[in-house]
Amino acid sequence: MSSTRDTGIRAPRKPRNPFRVYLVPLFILQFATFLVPLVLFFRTAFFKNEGPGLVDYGHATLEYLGLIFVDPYFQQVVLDTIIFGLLVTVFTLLLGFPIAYCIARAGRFKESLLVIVIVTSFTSVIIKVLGWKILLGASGPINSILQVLGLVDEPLRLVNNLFGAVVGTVHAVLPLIVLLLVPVVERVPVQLEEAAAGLGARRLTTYWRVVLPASRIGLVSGGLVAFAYAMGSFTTPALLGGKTTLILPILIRQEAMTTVNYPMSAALSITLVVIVAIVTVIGLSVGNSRRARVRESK
Amino acid sequence: MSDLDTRTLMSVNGRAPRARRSTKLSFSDIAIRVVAGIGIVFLLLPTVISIIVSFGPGQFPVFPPQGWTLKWFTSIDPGYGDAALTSVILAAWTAAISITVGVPASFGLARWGRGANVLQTLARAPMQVPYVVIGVMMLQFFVLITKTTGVPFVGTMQGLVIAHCVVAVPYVIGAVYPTACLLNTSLDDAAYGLGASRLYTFFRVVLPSLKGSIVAGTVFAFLVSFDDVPITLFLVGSNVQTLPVKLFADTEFSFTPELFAVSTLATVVTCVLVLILTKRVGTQRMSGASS
Repeated sequence: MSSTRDTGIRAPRKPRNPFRVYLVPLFILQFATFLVPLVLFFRTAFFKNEGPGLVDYGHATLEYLGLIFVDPYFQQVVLDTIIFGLLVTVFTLLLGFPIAYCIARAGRFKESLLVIVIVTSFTSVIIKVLGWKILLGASGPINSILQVLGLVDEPLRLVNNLFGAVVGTVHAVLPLIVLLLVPVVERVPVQLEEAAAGLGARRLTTYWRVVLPASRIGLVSGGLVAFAYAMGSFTTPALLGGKTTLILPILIRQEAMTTVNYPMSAALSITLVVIVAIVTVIGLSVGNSRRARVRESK
Repeated sequence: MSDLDTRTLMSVNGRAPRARRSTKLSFSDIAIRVVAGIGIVFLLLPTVISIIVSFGPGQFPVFPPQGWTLKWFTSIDPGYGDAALTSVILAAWTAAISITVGVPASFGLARWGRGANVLQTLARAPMQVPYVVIGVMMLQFFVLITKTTGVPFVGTMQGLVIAHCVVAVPYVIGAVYPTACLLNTSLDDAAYGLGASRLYTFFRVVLPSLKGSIVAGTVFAFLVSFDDVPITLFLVGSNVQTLPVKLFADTEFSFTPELFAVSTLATVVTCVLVLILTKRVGTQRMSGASS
């Protein structure tokens, strides 16, 4: 560094990146309308609530974050939220992978099937919820069919509980996961499956030992998207879950709108964001771990 | 092409090309197709049911309907019309601002060089925050701003537009950035070298080559805003009410055929928009950016 200065020869100065200026509006927008509000909001979790809508910024406290760890009511809500997220993730992948596989290998029907999935991914949440309310209702088609078949004597309670919330949320996130998994399956060469068949593998073995392991990273990231979506979803569980499905997003709204306790609402929001972040980190490290890769190559 | 490859490979291996996928379906092949079929029906069923129910004559929505009528469509409360208009204006503003900010940003990110991926993740960070959290934080922020400056944000159009742009811009970047990465650098270098200004190059060379993904990004931003409940819920007021939030509130407290009629109309509009767009820009681009 100093020697170049001594000789008087300057290394050609790197031209200033001229594309920096294109990012200026974005970073101004994200700083002023996302980062600042987010930091201000999370900060309130560490101060005392002074009645509806009032926060005493002179009085720092860890009371609200602590409550989430020790109070059985909040512990239950956190646990229920995680269970809800896991249920949605499992069922979304169980349905999503077969759909994605069949679409990826569908030949000339591929485009039409993709269009169906794309349209459903953009359909309003409200109309889906209304449809589920009809379908799952006590006198709805599903209960009628079950009764005609003699499987149940009286109508099952399928809506305004955890079941309804899970069904609705799986339905809402499924198209996104299918669209994410189709390119994943497309990257698994058909020749790989044919080679397995040529070597005498049964189809089930081929799916289990060839197709699924080859799609592992896509399945992990799809699962993580589904989990994060479910943990953050509000509209569907609020309308299909009834009063018994109390998950974090619903409680965050209650604390902010009904009791107007901003510190509690902020503490719950931090908990929600942190849980999703932790699960994402664990998921990514499991998905990319060497052990998993070694197991795959065996 | 690929079939030929496999066949040659296999005959070299000394085995007849057996197990042609189309000739014999094993049990697990059938099972996976059945599950996929159920899945597709599952995806379509609630929407189809809602649309059918909206044509039923009863005061209480049932399936199957006991007849057919259009009366719920002709007697829609004007309040829904106002809400729909608000939603369209809001979504249009959101889309306009989001592409104004998001398209140059995507181009800038694509030309950033090292570290662009990290920056891109940061730029899309609002997608990682649950919408309810964004709603509460904007509410609190707007109350604070109004207290200090006196400009109203809660319950106004400008407040809603700002809040919606926070979540819509990442969708624009998601749609435009991948295409911007594929742009040939030498093209705008050539324009620049031939004496065009940076700005002229951007408008006359870069933007036209990004046209398809900009259209997709605009529609994404529009629909993200048009369909939003959890953010808007915190920011609506007595003067400003959006269609999904009005439908949400009504679904929470009542269950009328009118709700079905309104959502059917909204869904038809959305579906037509998405179908036209998919036809224009292709399924691949549509599916790439929506997740």
